Amino acid sequence: MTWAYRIFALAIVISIWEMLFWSGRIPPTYLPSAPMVGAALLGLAKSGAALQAEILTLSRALVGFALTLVLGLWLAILGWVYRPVREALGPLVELLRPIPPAALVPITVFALGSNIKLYLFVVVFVAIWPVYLTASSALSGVSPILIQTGRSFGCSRWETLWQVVLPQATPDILVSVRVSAAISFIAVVVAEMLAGRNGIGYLLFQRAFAVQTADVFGLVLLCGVNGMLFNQLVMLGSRFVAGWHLRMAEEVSR
Amino acid sequence: MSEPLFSNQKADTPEHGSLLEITDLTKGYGAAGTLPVLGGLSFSARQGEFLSIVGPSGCGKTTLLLALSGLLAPDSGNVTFKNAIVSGGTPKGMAIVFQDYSRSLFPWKTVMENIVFGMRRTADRSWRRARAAELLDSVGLNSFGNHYPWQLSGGMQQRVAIARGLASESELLLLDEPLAAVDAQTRADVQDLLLHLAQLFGQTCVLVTHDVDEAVYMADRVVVLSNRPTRVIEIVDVDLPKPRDQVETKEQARFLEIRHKVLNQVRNMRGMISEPIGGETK
Repeated sequence: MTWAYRIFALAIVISIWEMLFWSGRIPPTYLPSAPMVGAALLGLAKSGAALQAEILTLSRALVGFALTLVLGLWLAILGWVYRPVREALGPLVELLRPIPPAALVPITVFALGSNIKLYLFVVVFVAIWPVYLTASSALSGVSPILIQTGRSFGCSRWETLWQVVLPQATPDILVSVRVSAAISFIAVVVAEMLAGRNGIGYLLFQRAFAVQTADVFGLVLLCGVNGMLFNQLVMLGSRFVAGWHLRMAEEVSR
Repeated sequence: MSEPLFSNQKADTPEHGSLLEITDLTKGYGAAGTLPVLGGLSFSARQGEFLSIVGPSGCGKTTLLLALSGLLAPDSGNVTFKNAIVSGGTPKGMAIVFQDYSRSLFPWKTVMENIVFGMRRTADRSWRRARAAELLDSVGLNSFGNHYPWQLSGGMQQRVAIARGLASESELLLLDEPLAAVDAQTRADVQDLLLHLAQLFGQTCVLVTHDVDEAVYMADRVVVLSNRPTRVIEIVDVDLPKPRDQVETKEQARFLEIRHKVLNQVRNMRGMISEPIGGETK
């Protein structure tokens, strides 16, 4: 039944799109129809341009996302172990957090060059904050009773962290991991647009300036599909590391 | 060197044969201990006895329990367990059952895994699951090993927590109001289960509770605490026959007499203002 609703919603969006197209109010150069976009995507796929861009963009986003997770968690753990670190980072994080990826590219492209370093820097810089902030509040929110329980059974400080605090905080942290996954992908596309020589973002800008609107629409659609892919990946990972929590949420709500 | 040759004097000191000894324990909170909580407590728990600790609300029972278990460093005085001073963590052979079982059991571990966690400093790895199964059986939950704690009722969860405590090969079980959050029927059941297990596994138990009935029913001795800064008012011997029975024991004149005495002491403390009394000496 859920699927029927989903297909229905999709059908409505495509209908409105088609109605706008057939009304003739917007020139087809600016708004191609759904079949035109489909054909454009097929063309991109056949020429191999889309596949190459897809592989480049996806691998950049994945590596950047992985780095973001490692660094964000590490920073949050550091702040949990040494409280002054957390206190010191507070205002700095608030200052850096709202900086958009597009603003980062012009100030780093000359120092780093248009290469993987730039992509990783931009991704980590914009995607790390949700992970860091959520992880740090999830870690400090773990009940003192749970920690005392661990310690009473002889856990050292590090054992308490790995065996008690992190497992308890994981479900909360995962929520922000989903957010960061999407941001990672967005950041790569933006960086490619502004300073790239290849990838989906670059291709998108190239086709836009050539006024090949159907291609642009196709590539935007591809971005959406990639976002879904990333989300599914994180969901799969969540099930693996915190499946108990999903079951608990399901059973307790029943 | 200066030990007396004849130690017959030592035999009749009250501390003889004690597993846990608390001497002049003090603890305050706030800057420079501006809020004194424990005001110089001394008592001991003998090997194999069931000791209840009661006192008026807010007299720092949980602080005391954390200090006993080495999770909280006292300001002065000390706790000795098996003739070694407790500091910097809970010593092997001591286990805590917390009041808040829902925050004390690990929700990501099954019941079986929670109990196995209790053995992390003791049992050989290969034996752990078999031993956990035995313990599950002894708390009447043998078919719930693969459940998660949050799939069980409050009373069942607390039984898992008790089994986990026993799993650590404890000699001393510290019970922090373990039954405060369960319904009356379950409470009576788990009380009897605790008494049975304490005897079966030769556990010395220290039960901290608000409930005077429970304190007297369970105990060999009841330690009555004062208001803050907390001290021991009296240690009452509970000379009731064992095994105890929820109906029989509680109808005995001696039970009512002890209950009356303890309840009065706690109630009198409740009416008092907990200000430091000027000129009071040790």
